[in-house]
Amino acid sequence: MSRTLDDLAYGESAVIARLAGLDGATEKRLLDLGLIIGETVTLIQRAPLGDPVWLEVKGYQLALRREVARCILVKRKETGPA
Amino acid sequence: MKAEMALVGNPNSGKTSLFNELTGDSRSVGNWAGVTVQLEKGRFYYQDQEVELIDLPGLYSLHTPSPEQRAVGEYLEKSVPDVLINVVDSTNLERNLYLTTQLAETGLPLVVALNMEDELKKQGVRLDAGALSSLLGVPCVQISATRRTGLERLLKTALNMALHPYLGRGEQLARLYAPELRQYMEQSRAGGFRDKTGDWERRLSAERYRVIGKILPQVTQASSYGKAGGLTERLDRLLCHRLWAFPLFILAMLLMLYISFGPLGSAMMRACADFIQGLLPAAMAGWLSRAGAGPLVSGLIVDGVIRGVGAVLVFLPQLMLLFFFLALLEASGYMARAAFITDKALARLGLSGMSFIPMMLGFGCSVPAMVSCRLLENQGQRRLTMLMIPFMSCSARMPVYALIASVFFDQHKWLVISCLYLLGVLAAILTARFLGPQVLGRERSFFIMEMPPYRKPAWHAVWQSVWLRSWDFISRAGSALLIASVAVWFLSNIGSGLHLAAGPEGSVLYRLGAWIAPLFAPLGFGYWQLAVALLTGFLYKEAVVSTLSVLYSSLTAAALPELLSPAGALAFLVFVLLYTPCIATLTTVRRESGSWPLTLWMLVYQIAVAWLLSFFSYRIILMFL
Repeated sequence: MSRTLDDLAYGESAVIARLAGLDGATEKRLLDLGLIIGETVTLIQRAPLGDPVWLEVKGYQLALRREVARCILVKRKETGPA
Repeated sequence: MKAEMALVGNPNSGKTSLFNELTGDSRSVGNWAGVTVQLEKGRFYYQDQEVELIDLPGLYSLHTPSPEQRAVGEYLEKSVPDVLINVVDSTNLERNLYLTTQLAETGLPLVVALNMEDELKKQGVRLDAGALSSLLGVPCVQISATRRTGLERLLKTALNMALHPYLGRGEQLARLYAPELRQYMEQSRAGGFRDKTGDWERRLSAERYRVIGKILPQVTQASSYGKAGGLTERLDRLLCHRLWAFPLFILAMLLMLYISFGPLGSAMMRACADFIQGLLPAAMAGWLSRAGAGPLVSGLIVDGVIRGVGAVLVFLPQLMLLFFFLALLEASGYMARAAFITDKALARLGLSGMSFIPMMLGFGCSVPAMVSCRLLENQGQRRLTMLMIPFMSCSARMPVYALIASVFFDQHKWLVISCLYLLGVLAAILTARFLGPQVLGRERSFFIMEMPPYRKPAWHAVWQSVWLRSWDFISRAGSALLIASVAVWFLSNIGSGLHLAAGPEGSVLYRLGAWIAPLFAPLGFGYWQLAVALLTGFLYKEAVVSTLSVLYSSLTAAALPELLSPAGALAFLVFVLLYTPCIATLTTVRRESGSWPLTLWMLVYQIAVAWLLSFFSYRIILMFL
């Protein structure tokens, strides 16, 4: 039941739970760009050919390939009491 | 004493706009001792103080290895600037401040330029620069590089910092970090601690964002922070649409070519040609004969200089249109979308969408396109892209097409030119297909790219880009092409023994051309004039046109159409499209790749490709004619 960023529907938001199976350099790069655990990400759209995917994180937008998106495990965004 | 300032910031933060705004035309590429990458620098005066400004490559992190990071790291190590100006996109503060925290951690003299204050205001966000300054412990100034606001204050603050750097920089910020991470930073700076697993660095990345998250609410007041404009979303839904993205992209490219070389561009060119090739030589010849100049001087000036340089200059209006569209694409943010939609196709060639940007720039000029390959991180990707770029038909080749196409295919001129552009792209794709495996080896491409919101291009910035590129073209026509035209005129009019040759057959150039020409006979254009034109085209592609004009004015009988068949003319165009890049491109490849074998291989490879494809197109067209 581990969903990844690649499984999100258009416009769906989720929280990053874990980065798994990435090489060190790519992981570091994602961290620099703000893809850190606990961060909310939203899937905006996919490229016309299905890859890469387009995300919103920390108020800006970012595109990355599906192979990387599949290494970013997410959990449902908790909608606790306001 | 001059003050050295360096601009550092994320890509898309408006760093280069600020650089252009501050330095104007004074920019040049400079070398720094120990710095392998060449950096752009400019010079200006502010309050009688000479300032040298360096534009460092855009980067997201000081510590994650990438070519930009290495360049910036090297520069900061070898040549300590008097002050660093960190350019920050205010509409994207959270991510931009990440680099700011890293810069503050280094303790170097730092000023933060909070750029795009105008856009932030439009979004209804209020930013308290004073509060941010005191939280970061670094002076922050709100500016807008494109609207030219706040620049005065920024320079004043930066100069003040450069002349009176104060101690204890970054201390304030460090106090916000968790104690154990602060300790780690101190220890690793002293070199006493090695982060073997990378775990500490990972924690530090998260900690920087945590600190930023704490700072932001204290300095901004917004209802809709970070919301991209509705127009961007609507545009992207269309321009990156599953079905429409590619047709729209191709349509945009064709439109660009049609406007530049179709009726509008042609009309502008004719107006320009009437003056440069009609009125000017006639007036000049009349004036020279009245002044009593001999046939040698008059021939040199009218047939050598005006005809040669003028033949190239007439294309300036069309080139300016092309430059305008390229600048528009760059400034609007569409380049990132083009990379996004083409990534998957390029991934099949072992490349990534990021290679698309240098290739697009290649339509302007190969030299900056080669330089922009720096944004590609892997060596193989960089080299393969470099091998592909020269096939993207650069603007200097355009005058050749325009001249030949208007002589032979006037009705279908822009169609022929469009086909040439497509053929170049095809040659690039085939290059990647066949050479890719060897060049890339086991390397795998990746694609992680920021998608900036669409920005309404600031017109004066677009104009400046058009102007800088046009000026480059004009100054080359005025210097190098001038010399080449004069040399061609002399060599074609002077035989052995330094006397005026009776006819072209006696000239030095004739012998040189006649010696090479047989190589081109199978391609349908084995004539000495064309061979000589191609030779001079190795220096500057525009020189093909200037050489032809100089040679054909001294050749009374043989005009182009009598010499060449349409098939031969097309084969010639194909050859010009594909053959060896100009010497400036080759030197840039050598410098950027650091590899002589690659450079020489490129030279030989392209001549071979040009000869073969030119041969086939000649034979195929002959079959139909």
